[in-house]
Amino acid sequence: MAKVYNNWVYIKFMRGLIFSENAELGKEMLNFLGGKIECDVAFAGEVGEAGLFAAKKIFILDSYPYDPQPVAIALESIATSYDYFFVGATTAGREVAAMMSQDLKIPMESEILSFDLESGQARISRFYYGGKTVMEKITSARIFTVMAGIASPLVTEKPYEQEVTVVHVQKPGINLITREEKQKGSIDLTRADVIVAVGRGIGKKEGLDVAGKLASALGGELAGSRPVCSDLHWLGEERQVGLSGKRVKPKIYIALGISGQIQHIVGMRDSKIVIAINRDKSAPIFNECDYGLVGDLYEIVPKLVQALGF
Amino acid sequence: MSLVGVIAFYFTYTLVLFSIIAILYTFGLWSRRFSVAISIQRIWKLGAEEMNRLIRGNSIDRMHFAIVVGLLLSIAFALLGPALPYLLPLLYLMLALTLPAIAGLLLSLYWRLQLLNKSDRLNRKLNGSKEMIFNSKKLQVILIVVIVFTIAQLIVEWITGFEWLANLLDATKNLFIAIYYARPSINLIKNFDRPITKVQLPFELKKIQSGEVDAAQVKVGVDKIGELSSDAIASCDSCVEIGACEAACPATATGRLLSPRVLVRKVSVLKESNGDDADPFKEILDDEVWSCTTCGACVYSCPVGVDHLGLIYQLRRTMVEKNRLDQKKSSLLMNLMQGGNSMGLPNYARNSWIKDEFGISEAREGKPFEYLLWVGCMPSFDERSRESVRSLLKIVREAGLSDKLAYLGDEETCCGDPARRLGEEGTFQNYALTNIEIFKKYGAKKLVVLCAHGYNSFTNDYISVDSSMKGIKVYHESQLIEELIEKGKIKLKKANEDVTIHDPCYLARYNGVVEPQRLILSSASNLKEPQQSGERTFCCGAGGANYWYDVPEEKRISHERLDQLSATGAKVTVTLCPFCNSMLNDASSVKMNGSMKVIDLSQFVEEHLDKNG
Repeated sequence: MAKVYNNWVYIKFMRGLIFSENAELGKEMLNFLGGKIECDVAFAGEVGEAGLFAAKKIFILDSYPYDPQPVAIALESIATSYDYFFVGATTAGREVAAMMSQDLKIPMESEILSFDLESGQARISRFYYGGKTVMEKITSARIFTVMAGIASPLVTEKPYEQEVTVVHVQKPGINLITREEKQKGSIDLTRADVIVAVGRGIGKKEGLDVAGKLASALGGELAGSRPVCSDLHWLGEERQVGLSGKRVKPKIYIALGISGQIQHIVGMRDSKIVIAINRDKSAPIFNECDYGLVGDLYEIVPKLVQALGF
Repeated sequence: MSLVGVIAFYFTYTLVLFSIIAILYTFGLWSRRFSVAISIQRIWKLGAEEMNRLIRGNSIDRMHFAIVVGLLLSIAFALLGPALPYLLPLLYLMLALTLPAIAGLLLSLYWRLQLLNKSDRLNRKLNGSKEMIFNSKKLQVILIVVIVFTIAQLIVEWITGFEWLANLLDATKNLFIAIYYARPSINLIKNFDRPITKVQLPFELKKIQSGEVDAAQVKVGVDKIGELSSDAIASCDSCVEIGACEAACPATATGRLLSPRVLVRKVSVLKESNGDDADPFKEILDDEVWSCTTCGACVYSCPVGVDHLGLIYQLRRTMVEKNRLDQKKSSLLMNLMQGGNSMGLPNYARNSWIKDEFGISEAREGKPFEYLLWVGCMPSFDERSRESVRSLLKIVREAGLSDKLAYLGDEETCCGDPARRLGEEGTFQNYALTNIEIFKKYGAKKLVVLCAHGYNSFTNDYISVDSSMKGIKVYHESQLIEELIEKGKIKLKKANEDVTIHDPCYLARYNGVVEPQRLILSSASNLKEPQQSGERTFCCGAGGANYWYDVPEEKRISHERLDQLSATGAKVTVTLCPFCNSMLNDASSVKMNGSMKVIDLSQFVEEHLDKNG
């Protein structure tokens, strides 16, 4: 920012502070902000890890409790020398950022995709309308949460000359008493990389075995359309994909005997690659797929499984 | 007659007079409480409505009618008792009338005894409290007692010398009527002509936007029973466990966690035992409220004018307000709020295929048009559903009307029906106001829709938001096609094919549109009516936003309906709503391997166009 004092131009360089409890995300943010604003880093971890960050000043939180409040307070204690704050958009990070915004009375923007400084203000972009559009805006906000995966981590080749400070985190008000593993057997289709989905077109319940073999050959999950899950109960409701089921976005989605009613399409449209196998070549699913095979799935699928070496 | 006989007769006659005064008194009491003016015209209108129902009605209507006739007859006997020996022709006429009345009453008695058991099972399944279960039994037993006493009295009237016994029976039964049936009767007189389409507005968005109403003062949903609208409470308190709603309800029939009877009784008993501050969800289950498809069969069939739907909307709004929604329901709301349609797909170019395939212009191109086609969300996005629009547009082309038609393209969003039915009134009104503005902008005078829900929204819901909608005529495709046939613009050729029809609730029961589709179908095929058809149609299972979520059930509603349709023997079902079409199509593919062909009316008409005519 340039300010004019007695005809002298006084240039103040903006400084940013990056915080993420996840070291990897911290390095991503360093890369993301590189060349735009000079940043120092705060993280929760071992002193030895500090050298991995390409930053001049490193703050290490001496503990990282379950409660975001003391984390926010610890960061606020070092906040005075910084103009902008970037917090990794993890579950805990979002809470920390919101608390800092409240305490420091600084506006905040969440989940930014880009950041630029433009005549003393931040120009950012973020997803809007549930990810359907990207909104760009100039904002007075100075706290941001940054999505994971928007830049590759910045790797330091030579050890950095750093000033390392340990910051004390107060005793938390909330304590973690116990952790319980999620019940086994519960599946989360929304996280699956490969999904083999079956529709009414498989004709008989035994078709599930055929589809299941393909799914396990690919290391994927089995899913179904509404008729298969809700009407016939061949699969549980937790495996239903569609408007009244789960919305999935795997890397590969294989639709077996699915005609492609909108009820189903809505749930799988975000998949990266869609492969459809159906006997009816006029089935609407063929308008939605990248690869379409017209034919009997009972002939095609076993051959696919064989070709995959199973 | 002996002196004892004379004394006994006049003593019991006095009792009859007292009991009738008691009836008149309680009727007066409740008519004041409900602020209903009882006029001769109103009662006459009610009588005409009841006769109308009887003619079109089912067995439950006929039983209900037999009870009313039996009661009136029994009171007439008792009241006219001293004069009857001098009015012999009237006496003989009345005696003759007792025979069909007794037969009807016996049938009702049989039905009620069966129901006593069945309803008890339902009460327990739906988690009814002890008080509720006891009260339910009590009211049903009272109804049985009244029926038994009436039958007994009508039989005794045949035996000379036992008039005193008849009087005694009559007076006792009249007291029951005064105590238990005055309130429901007045509720009926007040509400018998209340349209099913009427939805109570918790606020008017227009007034909030203009600043006329302070948004902070608006309360949506109910935390306490006392906050329910007075109409809803009067409705719940008027239920006397007749069970007609339950018998008509598709949710009850398929083993969902809902009986309209139990729902209103729960509210009434909870209010009675725990007071106005009780939380309605203390006893009502979430899925009880979500199980409703808002088909309106309960309201339509209730003999005492209870508005179950009004209660359900208030409860749903409460749950939306408190975010007691699972992921399916909340993602529907998310789609509606963010995406401009219920499917969660980009609205952009949703209908561009219409221009590509039919050369019909978008309204914003500025060409004058007569009809504005509202494509609807299903045909906009669902490939199979598009076929119905394609067929309609081919019919329109055949009639030479393609130039007079326009559509909205990307400006088309959602009609708002799913939001209103799910209980998100603000989103509904927002859509309504936006769409009305668009209609005004293009000076639309005639709207054409293929969907029963769009039809109902534009015809009824929108008028409650902005009365200028009255100036727009809304055509369901069936009405447009009928008009085209009537004007000789298109001709159909008759085929010797059995076809059955599935009336959408929102078209037939809500709006009474039953004739056009029948005229069209019977002129081109052999129309086989299913048992429940026309205004008494049975839901497909998609209404009330049920298309977007699932609830626990023993059987799919669409499967139950498909069974009814296939019982006609026809192999083709004609639907009049894309949602019904989708539900029944799925049911047919799952249950009948697709051997029941389910097509839209427009597809049927296109197939039967007589292009040489």
